[in-house]
Amino acid sequence: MEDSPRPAAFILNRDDVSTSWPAERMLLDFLRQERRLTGTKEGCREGECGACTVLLGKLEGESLRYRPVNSCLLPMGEVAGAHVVTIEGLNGEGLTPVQQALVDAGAVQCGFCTPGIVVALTGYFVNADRWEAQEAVSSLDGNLCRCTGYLSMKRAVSSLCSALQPPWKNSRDVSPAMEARLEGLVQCGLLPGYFLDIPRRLTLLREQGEHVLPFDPRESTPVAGGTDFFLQHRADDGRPKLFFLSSREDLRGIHIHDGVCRIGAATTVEEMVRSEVLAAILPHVKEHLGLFGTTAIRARATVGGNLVNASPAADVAIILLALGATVGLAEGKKRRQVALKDFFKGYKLLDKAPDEWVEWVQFPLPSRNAAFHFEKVSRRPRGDVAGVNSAILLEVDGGVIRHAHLSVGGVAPVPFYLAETVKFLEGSELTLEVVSEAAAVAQGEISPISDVRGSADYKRLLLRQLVLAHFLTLYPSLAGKGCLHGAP
Amino acid sequence: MSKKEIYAVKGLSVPETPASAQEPKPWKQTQMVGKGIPRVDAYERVSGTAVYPSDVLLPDMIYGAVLRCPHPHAQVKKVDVEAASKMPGVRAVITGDTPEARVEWTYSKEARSSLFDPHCRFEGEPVAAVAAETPYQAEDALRAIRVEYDVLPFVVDERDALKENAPSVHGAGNVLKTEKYERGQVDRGFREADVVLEENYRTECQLHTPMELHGCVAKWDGDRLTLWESTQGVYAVQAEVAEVLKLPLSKVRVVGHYMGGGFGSKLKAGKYTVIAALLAKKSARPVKLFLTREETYLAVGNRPPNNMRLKAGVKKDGTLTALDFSCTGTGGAYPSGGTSLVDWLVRDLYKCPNVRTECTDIAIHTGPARPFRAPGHPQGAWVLEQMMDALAEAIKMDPVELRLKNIPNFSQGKEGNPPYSSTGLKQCLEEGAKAFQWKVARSKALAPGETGRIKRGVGMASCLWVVGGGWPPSTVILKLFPDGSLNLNMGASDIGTGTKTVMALVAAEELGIPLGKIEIEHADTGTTQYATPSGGSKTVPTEAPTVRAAAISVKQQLLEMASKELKLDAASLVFQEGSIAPAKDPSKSVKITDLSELKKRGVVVGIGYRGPNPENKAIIPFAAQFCEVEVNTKTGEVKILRFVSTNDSGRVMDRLTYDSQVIGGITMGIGLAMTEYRVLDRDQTGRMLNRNWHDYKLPTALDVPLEMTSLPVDREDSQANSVGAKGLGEPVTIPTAPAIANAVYNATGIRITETPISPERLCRLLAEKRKEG
Repeated sequence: MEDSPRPAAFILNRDDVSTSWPAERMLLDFLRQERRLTGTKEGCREGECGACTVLLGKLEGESLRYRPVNSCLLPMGEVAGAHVVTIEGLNGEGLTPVQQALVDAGAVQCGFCTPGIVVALTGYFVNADRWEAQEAVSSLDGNLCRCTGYLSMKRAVSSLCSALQPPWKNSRDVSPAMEARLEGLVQCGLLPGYFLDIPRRLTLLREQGEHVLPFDPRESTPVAGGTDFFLQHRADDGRPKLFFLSSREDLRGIHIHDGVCRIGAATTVEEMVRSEVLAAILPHVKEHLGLFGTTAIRARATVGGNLVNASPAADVAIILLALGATVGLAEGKKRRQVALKDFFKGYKLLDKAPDEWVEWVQFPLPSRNAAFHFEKVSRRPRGDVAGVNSAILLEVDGGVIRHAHLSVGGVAPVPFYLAETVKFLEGSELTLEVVSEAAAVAQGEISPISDVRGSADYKRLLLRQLVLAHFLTLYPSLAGKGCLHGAP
Repeated sequence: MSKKEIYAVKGLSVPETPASAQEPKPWKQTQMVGKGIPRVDAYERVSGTAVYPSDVLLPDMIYGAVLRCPHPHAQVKKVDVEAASKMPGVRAVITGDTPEARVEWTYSKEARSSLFDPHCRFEGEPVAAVAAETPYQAEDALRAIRVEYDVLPFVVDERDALKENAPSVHGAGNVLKTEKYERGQVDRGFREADVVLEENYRTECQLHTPMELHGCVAKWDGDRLTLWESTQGVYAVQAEVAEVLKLPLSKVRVVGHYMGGGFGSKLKAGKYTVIAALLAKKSARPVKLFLTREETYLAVGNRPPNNMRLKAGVKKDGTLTALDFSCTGTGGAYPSGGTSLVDWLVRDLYKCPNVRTECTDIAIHTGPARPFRAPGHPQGAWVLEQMMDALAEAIKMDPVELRLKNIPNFSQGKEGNPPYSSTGLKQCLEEGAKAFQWKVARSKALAPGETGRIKRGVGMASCLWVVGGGWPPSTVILKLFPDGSLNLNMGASDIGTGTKTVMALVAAEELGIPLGKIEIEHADTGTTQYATPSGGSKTVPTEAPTVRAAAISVKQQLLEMASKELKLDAASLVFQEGSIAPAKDPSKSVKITDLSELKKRGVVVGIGYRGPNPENKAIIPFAAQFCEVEVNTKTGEVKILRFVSTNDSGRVMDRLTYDSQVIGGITMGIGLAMTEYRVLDRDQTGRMLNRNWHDYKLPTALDVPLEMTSLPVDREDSQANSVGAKGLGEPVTIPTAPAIANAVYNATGIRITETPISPERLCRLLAEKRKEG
């Protein structure tokens, strides 16, 4: 084993914990093996089933946020200074309203997924300002159940949402202060009373500990999230020493400055989904990025991680490509920028030196008459890697396409920028014939392979359909102007 | 919503009880049974305090791991464990060369192999195993084992396995067996038909993937072995382990109180069970051995893929005249039912005098199949129910109507044509169609002129399950304590279906004891009574009558005690809520808790045995399902909007567990229809490509329709057994996939004859149709 023990101090449920378990090992194992907390279940070790869901509470500035995460993908190095809540940490004298609602609705069969469901649902109520059944059900997108068929869970969620009102309901538009929120949650019985003291204890921990270790890329591999990285590096030996960029507050956040929107590399996908800044630029960002992973994965996956991981079908990369994004790289004190479309050199090959890391990604704000759209088709509509995904940015003026970006994933070794198609589109009139021809030009640019997500032919067909779907969605009136039903 | 309300149901009156010489009849009125009462062990399950076998932690316990063959076909030449044995924390290493590990392994009756068979016939066959202080050390040690393989030619697709020069799995041709069935005169039947249709179909291989992984914890105390195993049947595991390790049954104790799902894949012991026991013996330490998710995809069973063909004849009035069905399938490398029961619905579901079936089971180099929820039936339903839909269209008849015209009242497929003890298929179809508003929904979907990207459609399908009556043996013991509380002791596992809850309800119903006073001991060969594995929709109809028999035995003994106490003939006494009284003078009652003999004895033990089923009766559950879908004709994506399922499984024992089974079964069927299929690298490596939930997709909460309705045809089957219930767990998943396929056809005019109904397949078919059109 090459892991280097680094003592980590954190709060686990009610207890202060200090451990020298290697930073690269997963919290799930620590909980089950070391702490004998077996209510957190192991189902897959790949963040797919949610049976190991825990809440990860971290101080963010002055505020305390709890996020549901998969403990099978959460390295010990990332729990330092945090409050980890397992099912045991929610149990009190009786059942919590979440547990009771699941019991009453018959939402428990073999019960193996249930603790994870209880934690994930509790996480929803802890996080959400308003409690809505549909949103609460969506928060279970990463919790598989092989027995119940979920309907009883949905019933439990409905009854909870109608029986419980957030105690802070009066202040509608403003998120309640952390203390008020915790008090309300304890008052509802959703959280045990000891939570009230957690902010103080975490602040103390922050003051005492050095949770952000110095980063030397020559000695360790930077990881930002790692929801895919840890699937590829599962074995204990041979795993590189890791540095966890997620703990770098300075690499997080979404800001607009000088007509440019910059996203810190350690910003999570969930933060993008919830970002008001981004929503003002891309009104459908919640819907589009809601197709990325699951709630628990989005809470951990980062923009920088998604780009560096360089999956050919990476949703975030595809969206950013169509926004004409640029990547900011750092190496020691050196800084440089590279256009995202030039960043990807080949399958998992990047224009990035081994010691360089991504600090941010930015894109120019689209003009007022620009329209953006994202399409994704996968075998399962949600929480699946795209078979093909595609994004487009179009500026049309007087019936002519003035400016365009078009990207596609899953049809080339890299997240692909359709440069030839863009060249063809720019300056062309916006007609069905042009769209059809653009789809044909795109065919010449791509090189799909057959894999578990579909055959090469299918991906070609899908790209064509998605190109058509882009235009039909953004310019529905096109549909009446000619036949779009011609087969490829 | 308070806990008290749930657990302390009070004021029960004791229902009708048979006199001592009478056979018990199903209750006419019930107090507890049939209501929606939450699980008796709900607290443990929602609080995470339930200890599943994979949660068991014993003092001094170490961790086992298995090295598996990475090739679909190879001969192990040499296993070098020297380096691994010396690694830190390693306490035991075993291979095929270890004398104690040279034991026989039976995949099925016809297929004998050995624990570490050097001839690996599928990817995932165990080659060696280690036990170490931590799971990491065990994993590291596996990686240090050097294996020399002779990699051999493979065939991993049954469609390739019959070709000339196909690699052979067992040294001859790859056909394992062909089963034929025939009744009537099929050719004449086709001549009598007004319409004859013929079509090819295929269903892909589906994996069980229960939430809890397969495995166990093994511990030796001298020569006694205790196993905590995630299993559907502790006695089945006991029998198999005792046989393989040549131990007396009494020396093998198997415990499985909680278990995280099985769906048929945990009916027996696995090689891992024996390996854990051997590692524990060798290391003299308790060993925990649970498979990784990836291993479970390779080595613990599946629903076989099937290639099927059906030719069907029908008259204009809807009379079926002939069915001619053939299929091939594969249970993998060892005979394990690659085609079993695939033809059963064709033989038995609809009235048809002339039926011929032929099923050919083929060997290939993949992991052996295991029974999977309603073995064979979803595959057969995929064919028959789509064909019924097509026949109905051809003769311009409503598909529900066509089915209603062909309902038999006896089993045509079973030996001697026994009548059904009850059949609610008609009610399932009629009540389901009504609840779904079938006619309205269908006319809307059929309305011409619908254009645009999104199209809607409705579809339905029905089914039966081959056996739903349960059967002997089973023994249950009830212990009534002097304070009026009760201990229920049964060997059956509660695999999540609610067995414990249903059995507690039966005891509560019969004895008038509140649920809160009933405690259950179960699924432990050391301390609980014999039961066969929980599976095959037989647990309720097997165990519930047994529990009732034990409860009646308790009652009889209490009556005898009261007879002495009251100095009255036992026959003149009746059982009331918590007391016994002369039938003619209820005021002279004696409380059960006041019975002096009960106090003296400390306990009354009632033993119940499962009696035989009625002779010459087929006890069969039936179901029908209706669904509505939305198809995106540009991308081929299908959204399922709603489902209605009507089930005839006799009496509803508990509405909550019942509905949960129904909805869960539909969801599993949605998986088979839409996203679940094994992908093998057929040409180059023969390996499985989607061996995890990342690449093998189950439906999530967002993939199932919000509107799902379970509508029981709640009628006791008075002939089946003393509680009137039939099995439920299997029929709920059988008609789902063809119901969806029929709805997609209704929406698009495209007949999807192969699973899955993926965007890929549908997108291609839609494009082809546009080209033609």
